[in-house]
Amino acid sequence: MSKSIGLSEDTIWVDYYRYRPFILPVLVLLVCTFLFLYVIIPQMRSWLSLEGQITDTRAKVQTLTQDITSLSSVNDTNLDSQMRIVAKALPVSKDLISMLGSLDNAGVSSGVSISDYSVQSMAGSAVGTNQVIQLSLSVTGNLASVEKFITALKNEIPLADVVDMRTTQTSSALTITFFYKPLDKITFNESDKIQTLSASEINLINKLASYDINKTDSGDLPSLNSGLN
Amino acid sequence: MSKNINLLQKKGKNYSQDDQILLIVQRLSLFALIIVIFSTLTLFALNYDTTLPQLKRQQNASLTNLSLLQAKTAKILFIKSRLVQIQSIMDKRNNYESVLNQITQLTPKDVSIDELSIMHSILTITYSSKSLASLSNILDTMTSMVDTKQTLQTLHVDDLSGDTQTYILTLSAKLL
Repeated sequence: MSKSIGLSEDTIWVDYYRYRPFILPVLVLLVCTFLFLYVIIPQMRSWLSLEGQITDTRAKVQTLTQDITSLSSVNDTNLDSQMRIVAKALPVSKDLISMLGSLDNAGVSSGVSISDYSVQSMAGSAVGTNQVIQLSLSVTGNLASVEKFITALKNEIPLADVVDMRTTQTSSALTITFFYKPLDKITFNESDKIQTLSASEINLINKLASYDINKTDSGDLPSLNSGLN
Repeated sequence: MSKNINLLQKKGKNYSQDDQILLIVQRLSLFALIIVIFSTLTLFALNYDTTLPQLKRQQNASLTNLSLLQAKTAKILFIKSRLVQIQSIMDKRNNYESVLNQITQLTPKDVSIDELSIMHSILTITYSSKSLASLSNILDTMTSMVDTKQTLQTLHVDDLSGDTQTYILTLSAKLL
């Protein structure tokens, strides 16, 4: 007796007719699954990322609007004046005239006479993020006069510091550093909020302004245009 | 013909199972179709949202306005950056005037300061006096300043000499 192995044509046709109603729903299921996995889920992901973009952009717009409002309220003349004071306190370059001027002012207000000025190096050296120029000078007067001179020098701009001193009963030799800082590139990101000057910053500027005996209201401001991103 | 053979009953039972499976598959496919159509319509509606282009336009307009205020922005950032440095310098400056003031205060009238130097935070003072007791008082006061960590960190007597007329005391101290 022979046994047929495998599917005969009749069996295939019988199965086909038997399972024909399944073809369409199964096909629909497969297509739907494919669409869900490869179209709808990526689309949902991209929509979620779009929502993230919307949130970010909304925050940026809000920051920009606040920046514009706060900047518009800043007085340009005051800003120039404040800029002049800070640029005089910490100049962008070696300003020998201002340095000698502040020494002279300190000498006058403390009642000492200054002589033998010498700049140790015009090249400048770095102290932290700042550059300094060292000057040595002689001051005639007793210890009390030197103390007054040092106090007076601290109340002068450009900023200076006495690093070394040697004093006798009638005269003193001082080494003084003057600070300056070359202009850095000012970077500004549109997403950063621009803070106008705080009360403590304005107080510091007012303190520096009180040191400025010559009350410099005019003069060149440092050129910043090239430094802003 | 055997009565145990009932092909119709078996065939009928098979069709019934197939029908049940078919019903489930049809319902599943319908459900999947509804989900896909609903998701597509929802995504279409969501993507049709014009908020982002509007926000981008607002952002560009704000950036244009801000660029007109660029000079002010640069000035404020310059001032702020300088003020940070200035404050740091002011905080770190040597307080020599206070040291000199303290030394002057603690020096008795019958003692004179012949020489005083401050180099790299090392204070060196040479006192001269006719009174050895006054020099001793200075030494005591300075020692207590080291003990209380007031201005001075260490104290050394470098020299103590004298003749019948004048005594000379040289001290060196490391400032705090």
